[in-house]
Order: sequence, then C-alpha cells, then structure tokens
Amino acid sequence: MKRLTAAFVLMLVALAGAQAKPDFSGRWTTDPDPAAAAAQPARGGGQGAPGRGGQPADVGSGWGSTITVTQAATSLTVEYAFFTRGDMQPPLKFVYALDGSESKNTVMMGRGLQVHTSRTTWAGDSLVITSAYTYTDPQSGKPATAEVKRTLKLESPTSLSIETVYGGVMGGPATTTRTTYRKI
Amino acid sequence: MRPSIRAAGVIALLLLVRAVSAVPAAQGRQAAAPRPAQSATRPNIVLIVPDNLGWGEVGAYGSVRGNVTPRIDKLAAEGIRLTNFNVEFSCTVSRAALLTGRYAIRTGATQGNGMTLWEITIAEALKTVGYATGLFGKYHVGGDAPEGKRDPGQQGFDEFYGIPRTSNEAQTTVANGQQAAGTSFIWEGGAGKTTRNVKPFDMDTRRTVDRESAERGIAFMERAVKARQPFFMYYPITQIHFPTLAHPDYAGKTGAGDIADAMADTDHNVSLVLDALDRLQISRNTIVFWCPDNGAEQRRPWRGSAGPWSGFYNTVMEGGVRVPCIIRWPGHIQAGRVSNEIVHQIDIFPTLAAAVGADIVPHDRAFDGVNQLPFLEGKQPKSNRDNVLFYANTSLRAVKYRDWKFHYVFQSEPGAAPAGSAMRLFNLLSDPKEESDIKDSNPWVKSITDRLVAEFVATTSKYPHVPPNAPDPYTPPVKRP
Repeated sequence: MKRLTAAFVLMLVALAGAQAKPDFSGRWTTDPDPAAAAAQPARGGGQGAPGRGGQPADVGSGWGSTITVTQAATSLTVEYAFFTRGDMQPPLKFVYALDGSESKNTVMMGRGLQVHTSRTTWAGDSLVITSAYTYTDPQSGKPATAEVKRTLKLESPTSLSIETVYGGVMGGPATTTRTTYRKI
Repeated sequence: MRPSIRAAGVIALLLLVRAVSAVPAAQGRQAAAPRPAQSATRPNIVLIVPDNLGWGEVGAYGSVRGNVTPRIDKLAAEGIRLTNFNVEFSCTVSRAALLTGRYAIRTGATQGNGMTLWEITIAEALKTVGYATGLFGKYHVGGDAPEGKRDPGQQGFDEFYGIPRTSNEAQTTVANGQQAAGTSFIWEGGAGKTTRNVKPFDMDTRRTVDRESAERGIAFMERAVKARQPFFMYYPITQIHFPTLAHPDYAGKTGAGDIADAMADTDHNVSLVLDALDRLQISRNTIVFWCPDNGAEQRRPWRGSAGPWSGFYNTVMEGGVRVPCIIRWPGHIQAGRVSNEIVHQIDIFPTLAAAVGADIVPHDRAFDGVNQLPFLEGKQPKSNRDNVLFYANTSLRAVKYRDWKFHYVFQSEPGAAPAGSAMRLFNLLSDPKEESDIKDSNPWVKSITDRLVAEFVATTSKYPHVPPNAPDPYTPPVKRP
C-alpha cells in the first residue's frame, strides 16, 4: 500500500511538472494590433524617429515578425515567411529538439548552406534555445561560431516574449533584444 | 576660436610642415618623369567633383545613356577606377567631409549654416606648403549667407568663382534662406578680397556656370604655372544636380534627354581642364581626382541612375553613397587599374598630404581619413580602410564592414519613413541591391559594426563634435583630463 501511495504521489508530481510546461504553439506576430492601433493617434516614423510607429529599430528575435510555432512532445518548430510569393520559396523552418539533444538547422539565403546547431533547456516555464551559428572570420578566414540564446516565455495565453542575446564576436559587444509577439 | 588663436595654430602648422617637408618623400618618385614646365617639387592637384551624379551616368561604369562621356572614360583608362568609393549622403555634409577629412557629423555642418571656420580644409593645409588654391564651381559649406562670413576665401582658397549654395536656386532665383526673387547670384572672391555678386543665378546662367568655372579654373592654373607655383584646383561642377539643364552647346545634342546632355556637357568641361594640363605640360605632375559628391539625383524629371545600386542621394543606400571615382597620376598610379577596395572621400585629404610629402593634416582634432597613397600606388594590395560609418546628418544609419552593410535604420527612399522596425543586414556582393535582409542567418556581423560605432563614439569624449549650426568663432571645449 505504501509503495502504491508513493508511486501515485510521484506520478502526480511528474504530471504537475509536465503540465507546467507551456505550449508555445500558435501563430504570432509583432505587428501592431489593428484594433489597438485604430484607437491610438497616428504616429509617424519620419527622419529621426526610426522604426515603425516611432519605435526604435532593433534586430528582433531573429525569427521574423510573424511566426508559426508548433510544439510537440519532443520538438518545437518555428516557421516564418522570408521570401515573397514570387520568389517561389518555402517558409524558413527551424526544428528544435526538446529532449536536450542537438538540433541542426540549415538555411539557404543565397550564400550557400548556412548551418546553426542548437540545444534547448527548460528554465522554469521558459524555454531556452542556445544556438551556434557558423561563419567565416573575415580577418583570419577561419571558421568561427557566434552564439545566439533565445528565451521564450508566455506572458499570457496571447502574449509571447522572446529575449534574444546575440553573443559578441571579434571584440564586439553582445546585443540583447526583447521581442513581444501577440497571438493572431 | 579667436582669430589670434587660429593664426597661432596656422603658424604652428606651418612650422611643423616645414620640418616634415624637409624629407623629400615625393622627389624620388618624380625622377623618371619628364621635366614639366613647372617646379617639380610638389604635384599639382585637380579635384573635380560633379554633383548628384550616380554610378549609371558614366561610360566607364556602364552608363545607361549611351556613349556620352568619352573623355571621362579615357581618364578612367589612364588612372585607377575605384568601384567601392564611398561618400556622405548629401551635398553639404559630403563637401564638408571631403574638404576636412572628417566625417561631417564631427564638423556640425548643416545646409543652412555650413561649417565653422575652425575647420581646416585641404585648401588651407595646402597653402601652408606653398600651393596656390582656387575653387571654381559650387561651394555649399558656407550656409545660407556665406558672403564675408563663411566664404571660400576664409577657408583657404586664394580665389573662387561659382555659386555659394546650390543649383536649384536657379529655378526661382531665391537664395536659400531668403524670400525675394533675384537674391541668388553667381559670386566671386578670394582670400582677403571682398566677395562680389557677378550676375544672377537663373535658368540661363545655370546652364553656363560650369563652363565659365572651367575656363576660370584653367586661367588660374595657367597663372600658377607661370608663377612656378604648385596649385590645388577644386572644380565642384554643378551638373547634374537639378535642374539638370546643359550648356546651350549641348542642350538636345545627345537625343537621350536632359541628363545625357548634361553628362555630355560635363564631359566636355572635364576635357577642357584635362586638355589644359596637357597644353601646360603638367599632366605628369598633376594628380586628378574625379569623384561626385554623392549618389544619383533623385528628383523628377531629372531622376538619375545609380547603376547596379539601389537608392538615391539623401539615403545611405549604395545608390546614394557609392559613386564613381577616378584618380590619375601618371608614373604613380597604374593606368587601367580597377579596384573594389573600400575608399572614402575623407581619405582624399590625408592621401594628398602624403602625395605632397608634408604632414599637413590637423592633429588637434579627430581626423577620420586614412592615407590611401600606398594602395593607390600599388605598393600594397589592400586599402587602409575596411569600414565606413554612414550618418544622415546626426543620425547613424548604417555601417559598411568589408562586404557587409548593417543598416541601423533602413530607409530606401529619401524623405520616406524608415521601413519597418527591424535593422537590416546585407552582403553587398551577394545582394548588391540591398534587398534581402540576412541578419538572422548572420548574427555575428552586428557585434563588429557595434564595435566600430563604439570606437568612433569613444573619440568624442576627447574631441566632441562641433554642434550643428555652431557660430563662429568656434572654440572646442576644454579636453577632459
């Protein structure tokens, strides 16, 4: 009986832990909510006011402004349209394993196959994706890597925040951005 | 700066120059050249700067309007043709950068107010080593009312002729900053002379001012040769800035429109200057630069061509800041050479200083230009520059690092709102039109461009920028300990 009770408690704990993991699935955008924008006075973005709607420009999450996230038990898939319809190219698609194993993603942006490898970890209810992007050091001509760490967190069922830390290279500084997507 | 302090600075510069120029750096290179009709100790300099002239207007760069620039093309064949020559994005700031060897943001130059007399120009520097200096064409770094306040005579030019401001005044004859018609003039003057209005600058004189400037520039060169004095002839051509209306000799001549006519007109005026060098037997001892102030004219109906690049002047798209540049110096620069190495207009000042063999660049302020003479002479394969910062007046817009260009603010059309909230990255070899933002797949580049910006900004603690619209006399703040 004691063994059964302990097993039941363990199962409940495990279940509770599993339930704590958020599901990031959905279609998300950084574009302003049209309804909210309609209620706001118009804001121009002329010279000296960089960025749409007067917001300062930044490098974003590295995944584009409108993304589709599909979360399964063992993977997280992020897709976004980069090319225009006339380019006749599929959306960019990145798949990240959620079991801690290494994921490898490749894009073709006109400069050969560009590969980045990633690993994921959970930090409470946030998902951390750490990626290494390969490039050729322009000074030495040797292969090098740049680290990008993204932390995904659901602020609410309709609000996804992604903090992205772009590591510094060649004596340059790191950059941290925080991008908020709303569900559409 | 008070006049006495400025005079002391010039004297100090003169003493330094005399000490440095005792080393005859350029004399050895001159040995093989035939003896010119003029003193061979220092080369003459002809700096030809057309206005709002995009890459696609020149035959040697793949003109889109047919064969309308044969003489400029021949000049390209006689010298080096740079294919990654960078400039500031607009008239006044470009000319300020060119003349001072400093990014214009350091000078505080604005169209309405020009730049302070504290700035030391190429002309001022060359005068300290005995050059005759003349400006024939468009000035546009003296502000709205430069006469007697910020005119070329106060910035090192012995004599000048042309227009104080810019060409579009001809459409209304209203000088910038004025209200009444008939206030825009062609002027002339010089160091220690009273500036004089010669005649109205209107739609007729707009067509002829470049020819007149060339003729006066040639007369200036002839006088210098006669006096056996090395000279600096700055010929900032007003074409093909709008209104792009050619000399009557060329109006309608090409059958390819106003811009083609204006280019043919410009080509002719350039030929007048180059032929004069030949006639005076000084071509071998004269460095000729031909490089526009900024990229393609944008205003219709005289919309220019940026060739393979996107954008126009008043943007930092390549079409606005990457322009043709031809440099000829027989016996020093290999004829017919083409290079895609990065060079900037601010490099001309220190390069000329090296060419004349004198340390005439100022050392009491931040100075951004680098000496490109070893590269131009083929003594090293690479340029001494691998990056360029692009400001739109006081706003950082982009950084070029090697073949990469990172836009901190992306604006593809002049005057338009910046597009989107995202910074953008392009590789100029795989995407010369700056169309496909690839920062997401190349996240390392921004770290490098951020460092370059940080290094530039760090210099301002020792050498603060001259504030925009700063009045004369300007005195820099006391340096921090």
